[in-house]
Amino acid sequence: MKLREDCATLVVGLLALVAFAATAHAQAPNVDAAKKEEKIVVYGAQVPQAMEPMHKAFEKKYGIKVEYWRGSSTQVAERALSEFRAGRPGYDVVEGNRGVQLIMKNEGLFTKYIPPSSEKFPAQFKEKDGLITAWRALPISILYNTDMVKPGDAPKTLDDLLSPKWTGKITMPDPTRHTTTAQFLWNLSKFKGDKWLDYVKALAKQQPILVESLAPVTTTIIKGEAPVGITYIKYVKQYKGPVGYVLMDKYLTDPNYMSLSAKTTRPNAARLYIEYVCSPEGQKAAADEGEFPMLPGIIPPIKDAEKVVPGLVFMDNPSEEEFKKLMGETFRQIFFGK
Amino acid sequence: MNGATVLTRVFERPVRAVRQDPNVTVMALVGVIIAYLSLSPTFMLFYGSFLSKPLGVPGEFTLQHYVRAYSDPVTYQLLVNSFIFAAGSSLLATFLASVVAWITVRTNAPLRRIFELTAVVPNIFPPLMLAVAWGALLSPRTGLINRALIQFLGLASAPFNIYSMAGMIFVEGLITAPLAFLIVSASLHSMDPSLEESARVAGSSNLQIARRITFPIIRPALLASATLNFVRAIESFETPAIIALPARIEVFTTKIYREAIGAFPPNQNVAATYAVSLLVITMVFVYLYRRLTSSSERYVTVTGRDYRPMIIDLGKWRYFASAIAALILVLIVVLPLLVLLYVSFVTYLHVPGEKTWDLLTLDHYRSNLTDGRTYRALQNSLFLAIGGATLCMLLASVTAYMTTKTKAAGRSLIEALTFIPWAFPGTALAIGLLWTYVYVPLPIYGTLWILLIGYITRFLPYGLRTMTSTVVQVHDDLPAASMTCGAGFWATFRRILLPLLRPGFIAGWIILATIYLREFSTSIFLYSPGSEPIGPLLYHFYVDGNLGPMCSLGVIVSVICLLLIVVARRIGKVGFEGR
Repeated sequence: MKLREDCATLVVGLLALVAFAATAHAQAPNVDAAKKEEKIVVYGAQVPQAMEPMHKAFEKKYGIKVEYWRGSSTQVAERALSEFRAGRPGYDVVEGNRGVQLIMKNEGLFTKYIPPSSEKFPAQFKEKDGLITAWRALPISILYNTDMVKPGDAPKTLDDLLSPKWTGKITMPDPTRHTTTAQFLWNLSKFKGDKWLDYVKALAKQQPILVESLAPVTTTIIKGEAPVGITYIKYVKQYKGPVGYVLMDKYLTDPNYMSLSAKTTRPNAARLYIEYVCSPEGQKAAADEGEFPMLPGIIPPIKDAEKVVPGLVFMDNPSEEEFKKLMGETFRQIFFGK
Repeated sequence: MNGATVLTRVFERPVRAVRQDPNVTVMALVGVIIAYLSLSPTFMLFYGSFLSKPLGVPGEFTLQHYVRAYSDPVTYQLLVNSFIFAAGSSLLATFLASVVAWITVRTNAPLRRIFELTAVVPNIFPPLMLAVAWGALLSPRTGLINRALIQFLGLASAPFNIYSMAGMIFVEGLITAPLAFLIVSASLHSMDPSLEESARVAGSSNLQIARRITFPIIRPALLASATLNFVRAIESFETPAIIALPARIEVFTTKIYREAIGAFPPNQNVAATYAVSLLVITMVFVYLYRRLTSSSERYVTVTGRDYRPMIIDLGKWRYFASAIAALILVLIVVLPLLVLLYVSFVTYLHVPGEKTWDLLTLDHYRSNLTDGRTYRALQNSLFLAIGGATLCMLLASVTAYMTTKTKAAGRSLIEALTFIPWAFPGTALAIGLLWTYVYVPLPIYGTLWILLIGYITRFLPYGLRTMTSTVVQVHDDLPAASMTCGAGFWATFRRILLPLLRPGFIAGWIILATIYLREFSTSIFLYSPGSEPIGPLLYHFYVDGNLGPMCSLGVIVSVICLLLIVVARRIGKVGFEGR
């Protein structure tokens, strides 16, 4: 009897080992333990209205409440870093773009977690250290007010924005305050090589209306305050109003990540949440709200979205020092200098 | 002499004093609380500005933040911008308020009582909303007024641009005008009419009386109003937060925000440095204000004298006077309210036209009333408003009683300590509190309690002012009789004084609760996602471009403010204008 039990334990153990090896360190969350933790707190850069359906579905499925606080990527990073340094992190999961996630990762804010569902994501988005998990892609294009600009008259490329026709009529986030925009401008070198800074200077001469982050660019366009602007394509779906986007060959794109707090007090619920977000169900819920998810084959219900996917060009990330220089000096002089 | 003897000697006197006079205990307690509330953030703000490492990281003493701040030409531009903004808006506010006050108090203009709404109604609007409403009205391309003028007058371009220094001054002037109105109208109400009558008997015309008699008498009130509004504007963050960024104008408060939150990476040390500079400036002006009002305090408090000011017959000009006052009422109350309602009921902001009918919606109200984040923010703000106002008024009552009705030692020290919260700009106080509670080993950082402490500290002077003027009117015999009958301080305070002070208590409570419900400039720095109150939530709606949800929440908050006032008045059975 004892022998049979031992054999059974050995077999189960071996099977578990095989399963563990096969999933390459991915770790299935413990659902029962997660449910006992009752809730999680997520700080994220996604607008709340686009997160809500996914959170509602998660809450319904597991009975775990998601408290979501939204700030720009910059604000999310600032708050998470301040709370971490003060020894009082209020978050279990932090969502945000790659640039700031790398900075937080380097400060030790996160702990390793690879959700099993992320195994099906494209290889380039799998992080070796498992500290951050990509879950959506954010292509940037030109959006325009469809009541004020006919599709034929809209700018076709970023270069078209430099035409005198658009002087004072462009809106974009303030690159001295918004990390993703600083990163976007810096990554224009992928298209323009050394001349990227000349483009930025020419763009600044167009006297764009500067706003806090990429989301309000859309409402500035919808209101008609500026007929065109630079922001995420997904906002076409996430904001109501007369707004369309420009189909281009290539789009600078930023992947956004979910990361597990190193000091979380609800590790199981937080892991379950990250796994859910990466699962086909979570990815579909995100796509329905206009997101370009990481799981291949799921496309958001935005006109011609399938034509956007092949043109995604993922942005490089400035280091913290480069960010400081770009935002505090370079762009400050270009956009605010006399 | 050993240590114990020394300690006994040191404590002997105070212990004996406490035994002889229980007031000393209360005074000491009040002193410690007020000293803690006002000195800890002040000290920590300075500490942070001299520290080499960010919040929460051990650092060394350094002067580099001051060197960086004051070797940067941008700082001097900030100084100039802040002064132009504050001076412009305080002059505008005082001017508008004086006009309305004179018309309502001293003339026979028809409907003049209605114009007093100018001073009352804005107290229920979240201040951010006024700036947003004016943005919707006067933004260069889509501003509703601009569009209407272009259409009807056939203009080539928009005549107004809210995103300018003039726009900022205009909006801030309108926001601070109600306070100016209270000060100036109180002064006009309480002036002795016999002087004017003598001048009239001596043959002076209305204009001569106004110039030679009325103006000199109310001049201290005008100066006080201008100085106080200057301080309010220089520390204001609401208007600059909405208007300064698109206008690319930077003032002290936006700079502090940029350094502490808006920049990447944030630098709370430099934010503290700028906050110190701002605090020094406001202290100078609050000191000036107090100098100005020390002799004319009677203008803004109840004096017990009951003058009936002379009413000037404007003849046929009285309709013109009403029209002017009505215009100011429209600017300060009616237009912003209409815009808020309009934006809250349409899918997205647009110039009203045919398509508006298709875009009418209740979605923004529905989403706010069902959204967990809004619900929690309302809960947090109500807790802060009701709990904060009650605690603050209790502290203010005891303090006012101790400083005006007893001769306990240390009264002047407490008065001096309350000078600091008078001058503390919301942004600077917040940075000071952040530095304090990162180090104080109490679970306060990142909770509602840090907001509660911030609110009580910053607005304690408002409570003190109401309570002091009420306490002064209570005759000394009543508490003395209670004490003689053997009641202690607390029994006397609870059973004799509090009931007598109730009208003042409730009036102060209403003012504080409505301020706390709408507070923004301190909260934005101190809240954490779980403890988010209404002010920061409204701002987040704004920066995400969710104007519909923002305006509908603004309307909901205004209604709640109104309900709070009505309920509090029922409890206190006093009028809001009772003070």
